[in-house]
Formats: sequence, C-alpha cells, structure tokens
Amino acid sequence: MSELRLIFQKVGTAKYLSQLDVMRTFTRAFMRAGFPLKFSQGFNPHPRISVAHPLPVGVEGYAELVDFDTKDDMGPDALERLASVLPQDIKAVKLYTPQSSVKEITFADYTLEFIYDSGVPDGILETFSAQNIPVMKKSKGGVKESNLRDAFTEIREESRDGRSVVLLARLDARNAPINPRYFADALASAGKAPDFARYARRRFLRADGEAFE
Amino acid sequence: MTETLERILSRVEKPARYVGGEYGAIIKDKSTVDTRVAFCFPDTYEVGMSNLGLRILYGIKNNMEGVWCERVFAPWPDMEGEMRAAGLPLYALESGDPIKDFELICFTLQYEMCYSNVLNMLDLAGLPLRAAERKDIFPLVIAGGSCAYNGEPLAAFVDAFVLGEGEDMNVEVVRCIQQAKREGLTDKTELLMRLSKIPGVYVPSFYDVLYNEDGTVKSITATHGAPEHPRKRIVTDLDSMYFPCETVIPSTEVVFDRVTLELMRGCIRGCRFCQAGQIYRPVRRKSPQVLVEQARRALEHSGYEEISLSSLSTSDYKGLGELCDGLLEYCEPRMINLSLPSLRADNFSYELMERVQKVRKSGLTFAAEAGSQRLRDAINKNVREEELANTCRIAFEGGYSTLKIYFMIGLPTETDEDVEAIAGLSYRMWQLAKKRSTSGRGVKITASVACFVPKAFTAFQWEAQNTRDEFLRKIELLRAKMPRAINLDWHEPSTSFLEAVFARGDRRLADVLEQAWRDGAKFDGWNEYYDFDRWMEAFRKVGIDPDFYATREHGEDEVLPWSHIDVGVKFSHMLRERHAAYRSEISPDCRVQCTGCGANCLLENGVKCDE
Ligand code: SF4
Repeated sequence: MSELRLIFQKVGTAKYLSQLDVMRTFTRAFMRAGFPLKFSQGFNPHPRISVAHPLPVGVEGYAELVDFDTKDDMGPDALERLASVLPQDIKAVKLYTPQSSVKEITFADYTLEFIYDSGVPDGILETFSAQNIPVMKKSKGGVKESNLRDAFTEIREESRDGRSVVLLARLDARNAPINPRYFADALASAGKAPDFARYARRRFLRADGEAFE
Repeated sequence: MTETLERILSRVEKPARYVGGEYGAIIKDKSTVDTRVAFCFPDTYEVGMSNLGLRILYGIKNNMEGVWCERVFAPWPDMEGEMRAAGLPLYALESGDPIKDFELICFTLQYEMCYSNVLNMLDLAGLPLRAAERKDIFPLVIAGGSCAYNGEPLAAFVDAFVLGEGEDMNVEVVRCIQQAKREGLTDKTELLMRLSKIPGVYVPSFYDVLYNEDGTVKSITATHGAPEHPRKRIVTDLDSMYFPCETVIPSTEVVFDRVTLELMRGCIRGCRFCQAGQIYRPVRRKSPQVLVEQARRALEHSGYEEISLSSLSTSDYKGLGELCDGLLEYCEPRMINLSLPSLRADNFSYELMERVQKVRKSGLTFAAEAGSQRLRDAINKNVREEELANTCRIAFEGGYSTLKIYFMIGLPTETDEDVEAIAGLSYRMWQLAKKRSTSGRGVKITASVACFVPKAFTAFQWEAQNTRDEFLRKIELLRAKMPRAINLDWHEPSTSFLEAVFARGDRRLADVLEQAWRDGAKFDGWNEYYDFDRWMEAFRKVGIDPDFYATREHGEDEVLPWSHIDVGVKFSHMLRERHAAYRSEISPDCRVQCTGCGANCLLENGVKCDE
C-alpha cells in the first residue's frame, strides 16, 4: 500500500465543477485508469481520496492536489493512463509519493483578472493598499463584516491591457481561506465594480515561501 | 467557451451542466462533418443524462461518417433568462454552436409534462414554433420516445415523428437527411416524402384529420403517398444491437449516475393500465452472456461504482440467476454495487435481492396498484396479498425497516370499498412488519397513491378519468380510513388531469400548448413551475374543453386520434382486455399462454415472442 499525490489542473469547463464533482470525477477516472485504489473498511466502503483546499465553483486551479491510497503497485505509465481518461479540462501534471503533508500549505497565489468594458479605471491596486478593506463575508452563520487586508500578504499588478487588469495576490491558505470574489466586492465598494472577473489559483506555498509539492 | 457565456455562467446555479467537456463526450473535426444533429432532451441535464436512450442514440449517430450528434438540455429558468437577455440562442453542449444552424433537431418525449419545454427550446433556438412556419428544409425537427406514439398534441410543431425503437431507424433517417444535404435539396416536402417511406417514420402533416360535430375525430386520411398506418419499428435481435459501452460520463451529479443494463424489451404481463407494457411488445431479451460482457466493458470504461438492471419487470427475465452470478463475480471484488429495481414480490426475487444488496437494507418497494384482490384482477395486476405478505415477512425478518407500497386510485370499476381496501392492506403489512422486524429501528410503511391516467394503446384507452373532485373525495376517504401508523403520500390530481388530456390529445391541442407556453408554461414536471391555473386559463382562452379529453368516456366505435398508428398490439385485443376487466377476469401472461395481442406480427417470420 502506498500514498500517492497527483498535481492537476482544473481549467476551462472544469472550473465549474464543485469539490464533490471533483472527488466523483477522480474516483471514476482512477477506476478507469485501473489504479488499485484502497477502500475504507465498514458498511459503505469508499476509496480514500482527498482533495486539498477545495476551490470555489468558477475558479481555475493550475496546481491542485489530490492525495489517495493504493493497495498495489500502480504499474507502468500510470500518469499517461490517467491523463487519457480525464474530462476535457482536467489535466494530470505529476504523480508521485508525497514527502510533505498538505498541512504545511501556508499560502496560495491567485491571479485576479478584472474586466472593464469601458476601460480599466485608475487606482485598482491602491484599493487593496488600505489598512482596512471591509467586505461582507458570507458564512453559515450569516453575513458579517471582515477585513480583506487580513486575507492576503502581497498583491501586485501582473499585466494589463485596455480593458482588463490582472493582479497577483498571495492569500493566506490556513484558516478559512477567502473566496477571491471578495476582491471584486472590495472594488465595487470603492466604486470600481468590474464588469466581469476571472480567478485562478496558481500554486500553493509553504511558510517559507517555497513552492509546496 | 465565449466570454458572453462565461459571464452568464458566473450568475447561474449549477453552471457545470451548461458547458459539456465530460469524459466520453464526442468532439469531431467540423471539416469532416456535413450533418449536424442536436439531440434535445426537454428536461434538465441531470434528468436527461440519466436516460439510457439518449446514450444509445448519441453513440449510434456519432458512429456515422460525416455526422456529429450533440446533446442539448432544457436550461433551468435562471439560465434561460440570462440567455434571452444576452441574445444567446440555444446551443449544443459539445461545440457550443447554435442548434438552429444544424440539419436535424431530435427531441425525445418521455412524458407529457415536457411538451411546454419542447416549445420553449424551439423558441430559445430561434426557430418558429410551428412546422408550417419553418419554410427552410433545415433544421428538420423530429421527435421520438414513448409519447410519440400519440404525438398528436405536438403534430403542429414537429416535422416528423419516429415511432418505436430508434436503433436502426435513426440511422436510416439521418442517412436520408445527409443525402438530401449532399444533393443540395431545398424542397422540404420532398424530403418529408422520402422520410415517410422509412418504416416507423410518421409525418403528421401528410394526414388529413376531419372532425365530427361532437368534436370527435371523423377520419384520418393519408396523403402524399404516406402509409395509411405508420407502424412502429422494433429491433428483433437485442444481442447484436448497439449498446453504449463507451459513453459520456457526467462530471457533475445526475439523477441516475451508474451503468444501466437493459435486460429485455416489452413485458409478458398484461397490466391493463400500463402503456409501457403494451407499446414495447413483443417481449425480446438479451442473453445473460452478452449482458455480462457489456456490463464489464461499460464498467471499465466508465469507472462507475454502481450498475442497475433495467426492464419493466426484472423478475420475469429468464436467466436472472445466471446473470446476477456473472455480474457479481465481476462487481464484488471491485466494490461495485448491483441494484435491482422492478422486482416482483416473490420469494425468488427476494432471495436474489438479499444476495446482491448486502449493504443498505432500507428501501423495499412493491407495486400493488390496487387494495383489493377484485380490483387487482380487473386491472390484471397479477399479484396476490399472500405474495406481498410473504415477501414483507421475509424482508422484515431479514433486517429491512421500511416498505413503500404503490397504489392507484380512479382505476376503472373501482368502488369506495376498493379505495378503502388500500388502507386495510397497508395496515396488515404494517402489523406483519412490526411483528417480524429485526432491524431494531422501528418500521415505516408508506402507501404512495397516484391518480390513474388512461393512456392511448391500453385496454383502458376508452375510459373516463375521474374528475379532480372525485379524486380529492377518494383521497379524503382514504385519509379517514388510513391508520396513523402509515404514511400516506398522494399525487396532486391536477397534474394527472393534464397528463390525461395530453396522453389522449389530438392536434387541436396545439393552440392550448402554444397559449400556455406564451403565458409562461415550462418545466411542468417540476412542482416549482407547474401552474394548473395557467393551463386552465389557456384552455379557456383558446376555447377548448379539457374534460373532453380526460374525463369523457370515449366510444368504442370512435376514431381515436391515434387510431391510424400501428403499435403491433391490436385495438381488438385492447377491447377484449377492457371487457375482461369489467368481469374482473384475469388474462394469462405471455409465458402461460399467448393471448394473441398481435405484437408478434412485428417479429420476423417464424420468430416467437420471448425466445
Ligand atoms: S403475441 Fe402473444 S406472446 Fe407475443 S406479446 Fe402478444 S400476447 Fe404476448
């Protein structure tokens, strides 16, 4: 038996899949690829599969992680076999025996693309330099005000053209990670509501800022 | 995906159902394709993707050279609103291309309550609703599925119906359309004439319907050289028939998310209320060896963790034991569940269920249909109370804790005593269950009561449906009689009323459908959208009396709107069965003795039913 980790991308049409959809999809894709999955004991045995840090529906991921247990050797070409049985926009990147626990994930880098049909207004980045950026955060308990500034450690502009600007933000990934759409909410509060926004998680990082694998 | 679509999707519920991209979805190079086909399921993605027929026809058409068949489902109203606001026409999931540019649009009609969605989808596609207003040859709109046998209410909207099993017929239809496309044919009538020569194709505009003063049909006359009695198609050899071992595997949750294995077509039982039991005759079956092999391939390809056996009456499948052995041998080591719906209440079936469903012991269901033996005999539902009791006893001793019994009210010949007998039977099952239960969780018995809908092509096709008030009176009667220990579920009679109108409807209902759709009807099969008053208002506006179709007893010598359609089973047989019902007389099943229903004439010479 061994523990394995897959790095995958969830982009394009696949960004609309929920956490449960991703679990379901991998369970079946692993079966199709002939992976000897290890099942839990008990009345309703299910394969041991866990996806680290669920992405909100609509957000792309470029270095997502899924850990799973197998009971036998995977056989040759496991990654290729898996890659050939995945949905269109889920891509298998790397399959390996992990050396670190997902608990060590501390930060996540996101790109935030804001689209303005009539041109990007000034002062986008400045909106996020205030010490207090109030956003109304929805949770199970209801809606309450929260400071978006506490949710990220760095933000900078990555690129822009006439109608869109792309920011790169490093978000705290530890407790209750924030949905990136709160960045658009903050812009809206500042009178700069974008007409459309796209979000993508680029990578996970360790506490020392090194890439997590 | 275009940015317009992306923007819309950021605002709607469950966007995954509108983008495609699933494993197994067929993407073709457009330069190799000259015939684009939209397979439209007039309900949600979740419902449509649970349908085996869709997977079969999707696979068959995509196996054809030059043909690309894509899926289209009815967008939920939030998505529809966004699409209309953005001017985005109905598109196919695989390519994202608007379906109005396709050559062929096919609808599958599984239940009457989807008709408003058919109209809505045509409109969302940007096409005129009425076939006569679609002057261009393409896209041609055809419809199949069990409601197509009496598709008259939709006759004004579709160009052609396909009757019966689509495996062979669809290939011929698509070929014919492809041929017309290659020739550059522009004459729609000419294309429809060619199509009407294909057995199973019914072009409604080629039939003149005249009416009597009392509103009944006077005559139905074929024109344009179309056959006088379009006859349904069947596949004679199920073993060699296409089965979608490789198919689309949804990434998001759908209603039935598993491999469905079709054991047989048709039913040896002749329940007199059951349309499916008649229209799918004659009985044909697949061999266990072929099924086991197809199951293995389908499970390997899909990675599914469940496989379900499908047929109208699984217990009647010859070779069920052998089949289950073969399936379990593959499934058990791989932790794949085998589920067996539609079992009869007999010992053999119960033992089988015990063997295959080791894990969850909860949901046991029986279809009793009627409370008294007298009425069960009248509807030819061949199940005796002793059998129910026996299965119930073994099941509760074996650890089951809940039982749901299905009944109908408003059946022909029903008396108040028959209605009250539902309470009595349920109570006796509850007493038995309580005494025998070993689950330690307490027992729960549910009596689920539906309102009878007389359907075309059954022994009861002439019957008057109970009025809504009569149904409500019977439900009250039952509520008063039903002991508190038993849960009573019942269906809203108004839905069954509308179903009855359309199940025996004629062409004049087109105006009602269009009116109701204009007034906002859609997703009528969904409680949150079904609005009975809107429909009644539509009937009033166009001056049609719905009771004429639903609650009127039809004359035995009347020309029925579907009289010209040949489903194999003869009207004379249905009539004999109707009269037997009045004498509470049962008919033997096909294995005991052939009752000469006529469906065997669809088989090749010398082939017998159920061989
Ligand atoms: S022809 Fe006879 S055996 Fe065949 S389906 Fe009809 S009644 Fe049954």
